[in-house]
Amino acid sequence: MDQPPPQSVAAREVSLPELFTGFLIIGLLGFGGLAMSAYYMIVEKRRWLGKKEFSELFAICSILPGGNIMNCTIMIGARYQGALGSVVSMSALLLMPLLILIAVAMTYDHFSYLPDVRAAMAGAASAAAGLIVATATKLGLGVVWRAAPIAFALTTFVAVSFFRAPLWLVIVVIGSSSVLLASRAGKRS
Amino acid sequence: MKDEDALSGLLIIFISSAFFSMGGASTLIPEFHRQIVDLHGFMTSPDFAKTVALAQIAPGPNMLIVSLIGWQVAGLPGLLVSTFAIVVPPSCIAYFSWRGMERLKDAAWLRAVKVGLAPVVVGLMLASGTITAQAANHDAVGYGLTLFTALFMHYMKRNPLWVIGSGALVGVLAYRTGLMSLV
Repeated sequence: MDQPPPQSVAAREVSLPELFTGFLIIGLLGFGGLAMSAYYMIVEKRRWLGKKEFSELFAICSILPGGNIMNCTIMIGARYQGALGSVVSMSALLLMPLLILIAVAMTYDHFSYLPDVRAAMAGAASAAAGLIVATATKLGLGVVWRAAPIAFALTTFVAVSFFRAPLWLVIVVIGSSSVLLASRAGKRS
Repeated sequence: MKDEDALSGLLIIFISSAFFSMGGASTLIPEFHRQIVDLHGFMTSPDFAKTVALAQIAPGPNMLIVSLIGWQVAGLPGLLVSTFAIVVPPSCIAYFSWRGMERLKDAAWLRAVKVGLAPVVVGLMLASGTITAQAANHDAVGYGLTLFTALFMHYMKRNPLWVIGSGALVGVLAYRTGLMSLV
């Protein structure tokens, strides 16, 4: 019977082959984002990290540049097997998804002369756009309903969607203002 | 367009985007569209939308959308260069910062960054949705499908694969019945 995952895991050994197979499975299971499959494998199944350790690691990896789970992969690999661990873990994570991606792209390229396939792809693209909109609206519900965050979200949306502002400009101007305001509010409370 | 130009273009676009990425690959889509379609003309807008959809079908990190863009623009070399650009520089930063993690995790500024960036991520994600919708759709049927999918996914939780599959089916039906034309 499965016991609930511990809050924290005492120092233990995780070998290179273990890292490889673990991240290989995480990559394969992760449809539409890896957070769920990574949590399942790292915390519940293999117990490389405790619940609390994982959420702390995830919070930091989300703020560092790059994909959040990709950053976690590097850090877990480094923790257990150093630089080689990072390289092995990342290769394992990307191996199967990349092969599948190539297979999917080649299959589409091969059959894209068929009108039905092109119509299916056009429908899939319309639906994919809707998926992203829904992710945004659901995420939007989590934003604090105060004037400042709403203004920052709307300014970002208008700048990027209507004026096609470059990302660096958005982050430097809007992002840093928002972070500055949040840090001042944090100090007051 | 010479192949070397495309490869170096992809390398520069994705390395620079990686440093400004927060809240996942979806928040980078507007920037990718701006660079790949608007500035460099490596891809048409409808092809870009199809690439976004294909990337959602495959498993693995969402960031691998850049690998697929690379593949569409310049084949296997494009895929390898793009994957390298989005994976390696951030990985180096992660590798060298993991020792400092113990000090990082309780820092007050970390919370401020998280709280402060949240609204920006929402704005970026929404822009990502509208830009992909504009790229994907050229008639009322397409926009209707996008809107319906957005409402459906906002209120119900379903597997994205299932939803994209249904979108594909609707696409075929709309084409067969003459409701939708192909670009």
